[in-house]
Amino acid sequence: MSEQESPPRANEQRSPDGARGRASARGGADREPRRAVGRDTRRRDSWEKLTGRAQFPTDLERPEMLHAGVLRSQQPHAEIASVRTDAAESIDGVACVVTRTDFLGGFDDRVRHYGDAIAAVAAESRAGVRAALDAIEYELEPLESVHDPAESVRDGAPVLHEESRTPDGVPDYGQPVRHPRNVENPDYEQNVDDYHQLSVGDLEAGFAAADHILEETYRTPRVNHCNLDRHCCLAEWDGDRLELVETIGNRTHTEHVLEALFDDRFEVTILTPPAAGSSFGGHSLETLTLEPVAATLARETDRPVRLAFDREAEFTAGDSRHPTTLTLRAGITDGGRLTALDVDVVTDTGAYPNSVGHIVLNSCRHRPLDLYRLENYRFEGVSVFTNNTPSGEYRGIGVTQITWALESHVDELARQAGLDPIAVRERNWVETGDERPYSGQPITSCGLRECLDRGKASFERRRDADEDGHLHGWGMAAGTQVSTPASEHNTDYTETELVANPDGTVTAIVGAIDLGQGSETALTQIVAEETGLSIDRITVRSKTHDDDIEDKYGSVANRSTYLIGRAVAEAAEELTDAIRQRASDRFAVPVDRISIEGGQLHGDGDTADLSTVLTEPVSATARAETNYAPPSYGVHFASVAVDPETGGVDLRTYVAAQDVGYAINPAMVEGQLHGAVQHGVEFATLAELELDRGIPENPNLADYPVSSPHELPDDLVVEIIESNEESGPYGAKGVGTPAITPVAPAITNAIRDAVGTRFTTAPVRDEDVFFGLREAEE
Amino acid sequence: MEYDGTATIPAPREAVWEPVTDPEALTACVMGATEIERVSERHYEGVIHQSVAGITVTMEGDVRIETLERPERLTFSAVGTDSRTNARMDADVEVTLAEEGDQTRMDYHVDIRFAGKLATLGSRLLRRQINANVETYFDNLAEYAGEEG
Repeated sequence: MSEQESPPRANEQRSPDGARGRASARGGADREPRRAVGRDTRRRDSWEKLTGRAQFPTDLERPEMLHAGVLRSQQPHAEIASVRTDAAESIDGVACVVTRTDFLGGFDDRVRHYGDAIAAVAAESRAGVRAALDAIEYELEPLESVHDPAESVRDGAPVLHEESRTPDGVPDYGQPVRHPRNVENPDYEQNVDDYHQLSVGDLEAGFAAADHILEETYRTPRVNHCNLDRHCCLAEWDGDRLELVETIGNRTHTEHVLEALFDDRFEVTILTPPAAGSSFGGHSLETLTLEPVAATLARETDRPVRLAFDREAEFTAGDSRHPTTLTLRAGITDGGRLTALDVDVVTDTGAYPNSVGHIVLNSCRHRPLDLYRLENYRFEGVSVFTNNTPSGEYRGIGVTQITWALESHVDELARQAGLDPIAVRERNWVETGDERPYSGQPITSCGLRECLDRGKASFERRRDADEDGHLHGWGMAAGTQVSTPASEHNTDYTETELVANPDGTVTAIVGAIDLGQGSETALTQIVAEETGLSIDRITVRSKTHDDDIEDKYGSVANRSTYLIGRAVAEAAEELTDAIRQRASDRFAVPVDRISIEGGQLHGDGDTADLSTVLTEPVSATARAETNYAPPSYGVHFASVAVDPETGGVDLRTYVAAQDVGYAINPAMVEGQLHGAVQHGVEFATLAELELDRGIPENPNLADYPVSSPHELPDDLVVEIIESNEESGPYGAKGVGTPAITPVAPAITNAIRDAVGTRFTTAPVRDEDVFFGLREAEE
Repeated sequence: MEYDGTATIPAPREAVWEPVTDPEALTACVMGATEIERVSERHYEGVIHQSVAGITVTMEGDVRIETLERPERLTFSAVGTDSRTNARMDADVEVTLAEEGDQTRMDYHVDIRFAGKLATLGSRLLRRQINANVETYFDNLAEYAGEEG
């Protein structure tokens, strides 16, 4: 059926110029909305942001505040031979110049990547900061550097941290170590940040049972978040208490990391600024040249200090996604049964440990088993120190990398075995109730097959006809990611306090931080659903250090709605009971006859505003705990048209069918999916921070390619699937991170289908396709 | 790394040719240059101090002129070595001078290679530094030729 013949659904939006223009459509969930959840409530921060009134960290001012800047190394690896600060200090308006070894937290006199800190300045004005940075005289003694992680682990390559030579010595830098680092591969002799392995079944027997075996190595790019809301930290001291105002998703954890870095001499409190633009993991991690530097300057001057990264520092001192090399070997029978999968991963963590290498390896190790029934499976992975710019958290940590490799590999294996790639996936996918072999925990909700059915139907209805002299192809891929960092060994917990105020409003104090993902809106809807109050009476705010509630991780790893939402729903239920009890006492009406609608209490024909019942605040608290992380699933479809003359890839139709458990706010879910497609497009076809011996070639938004509307699909369809995750609020589970995982492989599988060549290094740029086509011709 | 560029000097061609090949003028115009001397008509030696991204190098330079077509064209090859840091630079340079009214248009082509410590710096950093040096040289040359002319 062509698009013209297909009647638009009631909630579908079409572009005015019809089928060839950009369109966006949504296949909603098939259920009645409740009173507040399941509805397209407008984001709470939208008006402030739309009108430009939102205050981002870089907008914050304090009386007597100093501006700050960092002198950064342009060498990938060097001893700091000398730093002379007297000329910089003598400039008018310069309050303080400190060198690296004076930073709080015990920094040595060695820089280990381009962008590493040498010295820092605080001054009355930005111009003063620039002048002082220029006036610092310094000499570096270059050291041999290492940039290839595969080389870095071998004996003879430069060693970044002396502690990383032996398997037992773990460099700490005040950062937590998640597990003992037992390296069980004699080839990995040094510079090991982390090491993981896993063995399930009998790998060799699995390969012996296979009719077709394929081995291939995949390489993923160093991709930067490019948040417009740059890293910025406002530091202020009150005695030995350090207050930092900055956007940090993982706030409690970061406070502890900084306190440990400062040898527990100080108390650290992080306050959330009024507005955040976005994070995608970019605001989830302590960046060692930000907070300790701002804290040092503020302590030295006894004044508030604001330090913001410029765009180059975002690329070179902030984190990017771990570039990862993944070698996959898989076996399949003629009947399409996957018999064995062997995964080997080497990931580049950059110069300093930050515990994210651990997450990359953990995700690469487990996610194939959350997607496919693999009886025979082996994983080995190493995270490696290099003199490259830092790697860190990025939407779908490790999962994005493994899913691109895995879904490319399964696709290619099916094609080479003469099998239908979709049928092979269906045959081997997990389903609800399956036990995950790495933890013994079951998969409690799996919407894979419904995603496939709905996604495929939608895709076939909308896909382009093959015409116009281009090479046409289509591809699909599945992906999964879990909600919360919980595991059978790691209990995740959060607490919420709800307060009904005498003026008839309710304040929810939560562990979540709205980093731009919309958690404040979703949690407001949950309070409204449970209490019966209208949205405008409810305020959600992040807990501060002074609030007596516990939260383990803040807003990371898809936990805000799934886990914090659960605690909020429970607290709201309790609060409602408490309010109804008060109303019952006040009006002498049995409590089961009292109801709340909007802001009004109703009972036996009487109506009163909530405020008339509350003479003092009423509060309720609840705690949610879990050691279970449910997987969310997506099946995505892409069609491309490739210009055979130029290799130009045009992404035509894209269908993202995503199992979100339950959509608390379908419009925001749709927004998450659109954003995921944009990020996936960058990974698949466009973006890479390119390094030449550790020195970035394109650390700015002019040379680094961020996707624009031109690269996004002409026709983008979102199908929301609700598989009802029983452990989540109303059945909800994570959306943001799971949704990105299938995007890149769906697109590159479509390119493979169009041109007949499998590209194993991302991004697959137009010029790669051009040369691929020429090679195929020869 | 290869560079092409053009600079216009507000002085007649003969007046520009002179400082391009004169040791004293070279010492004045080349950033960080000291002690440039002419060993023979086609052979110069000198010392250049440079600080690139925190690395300080003192290069002992040896320049051999290969083509000398006064006042139109000059090609030379240069080698600089720093014994302390083991840095080495090799360059092949071609410069042509054309009359444009009262001014002189200089087109140059530079092919430059680095070894040792300097080679650990990425191409972007070196390119930035070389661009800055070339720009400074022509600014200085314009000033020098203007004064002398």
